[in-house]
Amino acid sequence: MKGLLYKNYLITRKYYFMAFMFSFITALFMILIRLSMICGNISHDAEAVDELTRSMWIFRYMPCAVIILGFAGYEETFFTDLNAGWTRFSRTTSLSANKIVGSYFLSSGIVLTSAYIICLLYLVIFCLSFGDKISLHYITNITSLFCFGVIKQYFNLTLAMFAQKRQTVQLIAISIALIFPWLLCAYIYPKMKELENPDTVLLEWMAQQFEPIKAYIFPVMLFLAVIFTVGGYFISVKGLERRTF
Amino acid sequence: MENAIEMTGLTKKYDGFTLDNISFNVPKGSIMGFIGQNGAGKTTTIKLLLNLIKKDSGNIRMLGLDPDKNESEIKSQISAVFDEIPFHEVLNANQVSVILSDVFENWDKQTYFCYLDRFALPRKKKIGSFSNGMKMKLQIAAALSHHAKLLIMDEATTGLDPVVRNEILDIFMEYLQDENNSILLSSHITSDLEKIADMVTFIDKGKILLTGGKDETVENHAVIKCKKDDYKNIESADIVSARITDFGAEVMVHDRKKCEKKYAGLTIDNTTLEEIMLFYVRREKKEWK
Repeated sequence: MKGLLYKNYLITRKYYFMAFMFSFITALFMILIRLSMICGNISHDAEAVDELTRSMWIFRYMPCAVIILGFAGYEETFFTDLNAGWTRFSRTTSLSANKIVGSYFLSSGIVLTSAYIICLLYLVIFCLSFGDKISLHYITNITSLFCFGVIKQYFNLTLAMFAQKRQTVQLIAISIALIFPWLLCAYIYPKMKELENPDTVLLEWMAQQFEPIKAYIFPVMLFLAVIFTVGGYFISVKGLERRTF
Repeated sequence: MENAIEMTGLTKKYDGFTLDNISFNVPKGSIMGFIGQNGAGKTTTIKLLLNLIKKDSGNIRMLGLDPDKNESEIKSQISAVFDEIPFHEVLNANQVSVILSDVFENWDKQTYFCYLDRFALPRKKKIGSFSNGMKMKLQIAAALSHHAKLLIMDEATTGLDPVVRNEILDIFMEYLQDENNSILLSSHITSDLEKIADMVTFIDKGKILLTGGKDETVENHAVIKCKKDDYKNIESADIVSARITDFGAEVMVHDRKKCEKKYAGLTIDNTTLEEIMLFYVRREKKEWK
């Protein structure tokens, strides 16, 4: 397993570099903004500092989303590895399907967990810089994001191991997924017509609509992440065993 | 004689192609050349051997074991080489050694690096920047570095220049110095097989047409060069197929000794594996230009 994990590390290491560079640059950018708030031109204008502080919310999540989803996107490298003949070669050796699938799942797990830890550290730095309290709310949001990354990664990996025609299955999955935004729009549009001034209150109204859903996002994501990891592993092993080359 | 591979009645049906009742053996310590034109069923047979696809019927035994029951044990003792390198392009030869030491129990790092030096392959250069010949040499170095008893090669020398091909063929001859080692070499480059194969199996349209010792196969066949009038006197049962030109006929016969006696007045020439393949592929037409 050590050698297979090493291989997976070698073929994906550019993503580690990119993620670390991205988090370093955003952290640097954050520090520069903080410094300009303390000693820059706007430091004397309390209103401008408040405005900037308010607009900084995006910095809590955006870099985390980029890191986690960026890492979850590296399965494309695994696909090239799988398609490059490695899978066929590995099936001519005494390597078991458990070991092959396990190495991919374990590598993905290690990478996503390290991305998650980076994001938590990033959040701590952010909160310390801007005097925010590290609330449970931030942590659950980032954990939900991490779970989403896990779901995306393991779904695609399972698809790569199981489906002979991965792109077709992926297309079907995307088509099904597109129905949900369409349903949402079908729900929102008539409601919007009922509003007196849709332009100004739309965001607030949407926030209100999503408020009850927010409470369920974290547990649902956590549950799905576990299902996709365990289920995905077993489906992948079965898929690889019955796969022909 | 003990066999490294025994295949009997192997069948696999696809839409539009059937590998039909394939039976042949690869004796231990020999090189079996597996020839046939593109799409004849060579790769399908090899995939069935390696359990990369499931057979519809038939029996296989490899190294004296049943692949259905002892797959892992068999696969630890064989090496398969395909026309495409299985290692990711960002890796280098050193890293391949670390990875394969985890894949093969008997990985011999020293042998691997000896082959790298012999093939003049750089250890730290990325595989992506290797030429086709270098990639194939790397694959062969890896295949020979875990003391495999059976080497299965599928079109591994296709697309390589004659110098590299010769180098690789020499390595195979060395590998066969150990009498327990055997090679199944699938190729449509018959000149390579003519050089090193002990046995040949000829497959066409999913059926085995010939299997046996290479020398006997070549010696048993012959080409009769004659005029069109003389060609008419050759019995149809003796003919594999015949090339008819404006100047005369070239007739492939499958029993040279019998034909030498029977058609004593005609010129009977030696033939090659390539010619045998060419005439057998057109056997259904019987006459061609």
